[in-house]
Amino acid sequence: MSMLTIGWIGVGSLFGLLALRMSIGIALMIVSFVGIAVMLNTTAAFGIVSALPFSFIGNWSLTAIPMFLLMGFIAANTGLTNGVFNLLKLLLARVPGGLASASVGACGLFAAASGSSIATTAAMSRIAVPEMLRAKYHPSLATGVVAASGTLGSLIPPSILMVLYGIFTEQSIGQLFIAGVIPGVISALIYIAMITVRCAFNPELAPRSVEVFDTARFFHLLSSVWPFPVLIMGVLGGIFGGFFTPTEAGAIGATLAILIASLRRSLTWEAMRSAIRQTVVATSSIFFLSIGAIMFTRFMGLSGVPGALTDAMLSVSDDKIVIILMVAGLFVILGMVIDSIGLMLLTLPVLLPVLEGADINLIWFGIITIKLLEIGLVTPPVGLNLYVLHSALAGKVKLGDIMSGTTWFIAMDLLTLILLIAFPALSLFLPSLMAN
Amino acid sequence: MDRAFRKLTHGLMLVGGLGIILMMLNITLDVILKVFWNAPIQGTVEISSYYYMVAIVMLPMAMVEYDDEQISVDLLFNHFPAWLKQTSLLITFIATAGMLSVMTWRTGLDAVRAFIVGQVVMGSREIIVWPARCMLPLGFGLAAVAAIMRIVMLLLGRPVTKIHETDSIT
Repeated sequence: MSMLTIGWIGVGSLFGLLALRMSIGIALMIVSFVGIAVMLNTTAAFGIVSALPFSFIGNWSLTAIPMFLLMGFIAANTGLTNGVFNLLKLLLARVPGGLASASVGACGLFAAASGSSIATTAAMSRIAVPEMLRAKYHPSLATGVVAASGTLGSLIPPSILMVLYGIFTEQSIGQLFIAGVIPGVISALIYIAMITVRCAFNPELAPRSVEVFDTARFFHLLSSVWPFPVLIMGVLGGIFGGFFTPTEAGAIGATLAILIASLRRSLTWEAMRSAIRQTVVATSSIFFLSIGAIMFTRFMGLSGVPGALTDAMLSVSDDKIVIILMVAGLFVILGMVIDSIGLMLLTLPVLLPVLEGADINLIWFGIITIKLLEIGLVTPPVGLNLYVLHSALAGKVKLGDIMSGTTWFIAMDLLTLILLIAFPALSLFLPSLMAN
Repeated sequence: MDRAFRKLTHGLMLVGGLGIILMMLNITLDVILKVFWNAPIQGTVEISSYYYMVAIVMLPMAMVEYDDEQISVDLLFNHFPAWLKQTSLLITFIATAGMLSVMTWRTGLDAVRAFIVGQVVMGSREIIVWPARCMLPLGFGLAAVAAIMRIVMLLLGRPVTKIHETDSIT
């Protein structure tokens, strides 16, 4: 049996094991271990088991992952977002669908303090959705907007997905972070435009607010949003101003979040304990999966599967756009059944050589990948964000309503995606400034 | 037995949590000292990568396995009939215990080797790494035990899966 055949059998068995609900990490480890043992010998297989985990965990850049997770969970558990949402709510009170647009804005800002879409969605669902339901917004709009805007968490820096992508593709994490800013803002603006137009034509979706603009209240709210600019400037300003690296920024951000929460007297022991537990569990499970992915990368490399796939795809067309569209199709389909980190780490070992073969800019592709993975987060049946919302609202809104509410937003995401693919400069302009 | 093991895994998770806080403080202090006084804390990179991170990843691993918090795909599984669910879980747990045992054994051998030669990493300061290397067999080993405990729980008909939506990530 040729190495290539063993490689393809490995890919096939991987999906078989995943169907049994085996954890993605273990499935990757087993397939890689057995695959290398069959292809070469057991000594080589034992070699990857002993060498890879320690050298992978001991990668300085990866320390950013627990730190950004901690920052996001602390911001979420201590209600750092409430002030921003209330301020935007007041400013957009007279705009059709103003509450929904305020939710998009608050999600976008929260995303700048959180590296994770799930944390963003969970935090905003507790604040924004009940408010919209009270204002008699249609439940599918009220939930759809938060499920979709929560995905800004990974596109707007900092971002756990970008850190992992940067490590696996050997791209600069700082450049990826800054590349995500414009696409993130565009996504949010397109959402807001769609909400405004829809609600203007169909006022039943979102009854007009009767709230009058009150200057005193405006200034009062303005004074309560200071934590946000401080946190965002502290983290992103520090990275792009060159005071510290994206890796160090995570620790600075987490420390700042704790300081701000204690100044606002919202740092309870319970909030802290729960943030730490969430961070530890998330970190350990992400790394477990990543160790599997790194072993799988080695197995794939030895088998020659990525090379064969590269040849096959390049023989269809060597046009960058065609290749990106093929990869996008693959992500959208697989994204329906596999969650974002898993999908990215499963596919990169195979796809990376294809992208390099077609000479595709990996920063640009990174942003497109993350946008695609984020669409996967809100597409049923395995749209994690849908379930996060559903459980955060304790079943007050039907899952079907949440799903139908995201349809419009997914359509807008596809529009954003077309823009990102058609105009690489949207992603690459800011990094090019940084490089000079 | 069950409760003692749960306490142990929970305790190790808390040590991992302590690692997170220590790493945060260490890196923050290092940046502040570097930016303002140009006096970084020697060895921050090495200690963070080899000690804090290894502790944060490895020590909670048993709890993550035991509490069914690993990332998996349950789309097809949810539509399985009961007997197939049980069979899938049994195969999964046995395979998990087996793979983790291999990991424990090999990383254990490495830890012993590192201890014997007194392995160090060179950075701004020399740092011994065998204590960090010992955390790998400890983490993988206890996670293997957790998988075995789940086999027993499954055979006794006790719940072994949980719906965990909000604790997941990105």
